[in-house]
Amino acid sequence: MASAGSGDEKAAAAAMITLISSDNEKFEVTEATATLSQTIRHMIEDGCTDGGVPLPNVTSKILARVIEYCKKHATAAAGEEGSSSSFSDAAFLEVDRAFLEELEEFDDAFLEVDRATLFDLILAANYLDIKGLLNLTCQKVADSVKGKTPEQIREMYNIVNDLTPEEEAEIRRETQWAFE
Amino acid sequence: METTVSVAPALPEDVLEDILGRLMARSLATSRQVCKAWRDVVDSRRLLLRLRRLLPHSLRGFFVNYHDHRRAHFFARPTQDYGPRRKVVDSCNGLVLYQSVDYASHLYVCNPPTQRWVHLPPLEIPHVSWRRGFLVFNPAVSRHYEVLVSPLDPEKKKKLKPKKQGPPTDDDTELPPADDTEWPPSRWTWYLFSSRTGRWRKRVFVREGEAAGTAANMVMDSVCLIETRWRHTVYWRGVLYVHCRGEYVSRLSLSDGKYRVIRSPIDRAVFYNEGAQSFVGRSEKGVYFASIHRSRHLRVWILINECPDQTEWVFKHEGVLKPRDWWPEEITTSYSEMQRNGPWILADYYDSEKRKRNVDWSSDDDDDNNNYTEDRRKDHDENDGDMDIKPHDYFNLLGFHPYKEIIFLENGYHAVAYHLNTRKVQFLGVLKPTGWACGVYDSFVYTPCYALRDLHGIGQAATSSCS
Repeated sequence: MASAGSGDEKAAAAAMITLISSDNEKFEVTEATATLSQTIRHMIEDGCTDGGVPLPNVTSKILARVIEYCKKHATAAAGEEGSSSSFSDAAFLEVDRAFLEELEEFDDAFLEVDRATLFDLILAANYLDIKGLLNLTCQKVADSVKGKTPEQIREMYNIVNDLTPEEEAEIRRETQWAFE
Repeated sequence: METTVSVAPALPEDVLEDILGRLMARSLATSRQVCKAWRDVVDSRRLLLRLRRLLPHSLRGFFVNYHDHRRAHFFARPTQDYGPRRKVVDSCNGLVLYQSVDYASHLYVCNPPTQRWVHLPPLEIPHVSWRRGFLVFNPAVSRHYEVLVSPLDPEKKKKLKPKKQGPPTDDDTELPPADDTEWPPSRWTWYLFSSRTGRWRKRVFVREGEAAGTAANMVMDSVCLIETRWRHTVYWRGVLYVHCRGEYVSRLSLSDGKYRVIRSPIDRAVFYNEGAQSFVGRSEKGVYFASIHRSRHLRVWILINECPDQTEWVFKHEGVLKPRDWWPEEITTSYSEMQRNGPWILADYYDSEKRKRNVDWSSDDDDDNNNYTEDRRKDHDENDGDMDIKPHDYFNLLGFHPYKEIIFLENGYHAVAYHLNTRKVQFLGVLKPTGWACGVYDSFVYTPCYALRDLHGIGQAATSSCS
């Protein structure tokens, strides 16, 4: 932040990175967007992004969503940096608040996906190490599980019950206290 | 290619931990029932143990042993019976140590909420019924527990005879010490069971500082097997404080195998001649020592123990107990009627009556109505008719409240909570079990630990629902 507005920074912000999905689709994104992913940030730092970054674990469908998220949040990050230098300015704070609300709305809408996509987003966020997205999606799953029975949870996420009847009985006995 | 059923991809354990770690207790418990992967993450990442609410944090009740009963009874607000079988010999941070009445070498560790029992390997050493067993457990630090069995105390009557003549061996610790030897010895041999190894081994504690005295002056009158006054301990910050016969406290450091003798805050001889009782327990500020002498004179100290070699008992409370004032407003002639007046109840009584009552005295909510102040006098009918239910001069110290400065006392089957700071006395209930009993023997404070799913011991095969 100390060097905000320097020539290097501007050059970096303008630099474009190519991400390649598992089904070989190419996505051009700014470095600011791409570096929300710690995994990609490290690759850029190591200088191995020439010719594109192959992401064999992420399909184009999911990658498009991830990039959508990163673009929005990269703007947010830039916005925060911009406003922090004049944080005492009430007008800026007002703008900030409005922007944060907008961001929240974006996140809510972003999470309106089917369960399978949600799981794929989690896997992508985990693989790409995007903290905000991982946090968001994990919380979504946690919220969806709350107050549900094991059967409902399995149904919701197509999880096969691989516990034996004996194991199930055992677990019920062990956690009897939770349901008294 | 879309199908209506898309199988959720298996999430990496770290991610699953991230998700499930956001759940509260009940949902987390439910999530263990979803599938193996979920159960395993909850268990291996110890997610239940992370929920502070599930660690011991509240007083649930007491396990009470009687002189002539072959099992302990649970005294608490009405609930399910924890099914205590056998005698309870110790209770520590949620786990309870039981001992078989018929076979003293058989010890059991139980986590009551899950009804998990571990039958420890029998401890085949001499005179095991004369020894004391202690439980060491802190679920906030480790899921493992240890059980310590004490060496024999000095005896006045040489009841315990050497089995054979021979050169001195380590096994000499099995024998009662000669009168003029230092006690406790510089190398004090205990027996220790660790749930890590699933085995018993000898554990030598090396003394730092002075002994308590000689074996001869540790003997306090004839040893009576029904004596209960020196069996309580406090496990506090990795150190076991054991109240010992001869009136001192041993500070056993389990990490480095060292121990120190902490002198009692009361004069042993005077104290003993007055037929007093003493007791150690854990409460709000750590280790507490209580004594009742001259029948009704209660005194309480707190141990200040900044470093191991500097210990000091700080005087906390002095008061005269007036059991007549403790009895409920409605004096009746039968225990069964009185039993309804107290918020706490013995589980067997509850079971036999199947009487669900709406009572809500909680030790965590001590500003209830059922209070009797020490200066409040009530008229009692001296000719009550039932000698048994009258207050008298013998008290049992049931224990300390582990988190508040409250001491629990019993007088004529009458259990009360005595607040050290306000002298407020609350009637808890009647400790008389259904059927005949000839008095409370001892009792152990119980603080449930719900976070503990299973018990470590001697492998899963050995954990069973012993009946």
